[in-house]
Amino acid sequence: MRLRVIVGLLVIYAVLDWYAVPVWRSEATVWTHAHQINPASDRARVNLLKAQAFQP
Amino acid sequence: VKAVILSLSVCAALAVLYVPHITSATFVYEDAKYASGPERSVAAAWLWRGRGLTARSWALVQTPQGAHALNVELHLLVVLLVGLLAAQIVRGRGSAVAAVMALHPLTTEGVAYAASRADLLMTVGMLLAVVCAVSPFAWTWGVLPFAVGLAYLGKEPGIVAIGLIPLGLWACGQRDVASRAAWLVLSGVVIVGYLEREAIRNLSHIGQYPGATMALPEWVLLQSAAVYRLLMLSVAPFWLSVSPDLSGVTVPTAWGAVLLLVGLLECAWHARHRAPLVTVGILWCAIVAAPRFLVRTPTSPFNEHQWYGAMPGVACVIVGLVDLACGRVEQWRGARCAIA
Repeated sequence: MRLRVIVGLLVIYAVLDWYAVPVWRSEATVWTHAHQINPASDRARVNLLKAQAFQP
Repeated sequence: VKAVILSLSVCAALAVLYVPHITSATFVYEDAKYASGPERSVAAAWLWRGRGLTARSWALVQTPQGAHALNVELHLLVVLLVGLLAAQIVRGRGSAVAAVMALHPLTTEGVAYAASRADLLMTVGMLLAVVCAVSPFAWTWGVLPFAVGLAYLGKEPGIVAIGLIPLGLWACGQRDVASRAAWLVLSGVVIVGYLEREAIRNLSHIGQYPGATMALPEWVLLQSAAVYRLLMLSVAPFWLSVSPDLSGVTVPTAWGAVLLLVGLLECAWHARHRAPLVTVGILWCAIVAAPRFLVRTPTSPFNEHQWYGAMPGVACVIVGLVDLACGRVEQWRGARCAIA
């Protein structure tokens, strides 16, 4: 049972990693993600401007 | 056999996740500053000061591919050391703790962001120090100073490796040695803290904005909220961000975070017999986070890649809690069968 629970957790982690790792691919992806994750924050506008500045 | 299959699956998952990143990712955020900026040349001249080794490594590996590959290799080394340490603490749990460390989403920033190599090197040094201290071979004690040096030269907070050694010894059942080592470390911290009290009071003028500072009580409250956020992310890693915004944290919320952290330490004390992995994990996180409560960097509270050094503790807590919960469920099932 312990092994099954650990394997279940690892599968969830791997799926989350699949979306988390590509965020660090370029400046545009980093700042777009930073804006999307918390669009209401004080830093959101700065993050959006950075994301737009680095768009190819 | 199960441990081997689990290890191979985790290695395959890491390859699928990180090989495309190594081949296609560019430098982002502060990477370029370390790769070619003036900081590298200044810090490289000070190999014997904190982060000297990290700065020297940037002089050797300057391409994005090389930098990302080096980070992944260091992460694999960390995973191996975490597995060795956890296997010494609770027999048969090494592979599970290592697997959680390998794939936990909170480690992705530390591995995928090249500039956080300092945190990876520091964690390698800290784990190597503890693994050497708890090893059954006497000669490994000779490696200890080099391991602590590696942690410090990776990043300044790596000096806490000295405090992690008594914790590792206690967890592996060497209570007498652990007690003596703990008193020695505690005395050293008190003496150095007293002698360097002025320097510690002014530990704010480092980081990206050296002029920025904050009163110590205010900083401790903010940092508690940041640690609380990271603990929540350790349990539910869904809202990772390169730019966490803690400006909206109110004073009552921050005090709630302080109480939660104190409560966690009490949980660690109570769990020391039934779930040693949980106790070790919580104390590991507390020791690694401690220096960040003194060094004030108001524009950059505790964030994901700085939390990488605490992740071995988080992995221990997760596996310890799974053990505890599964044990309870099996007990309950057994009692139900006996009644039936």
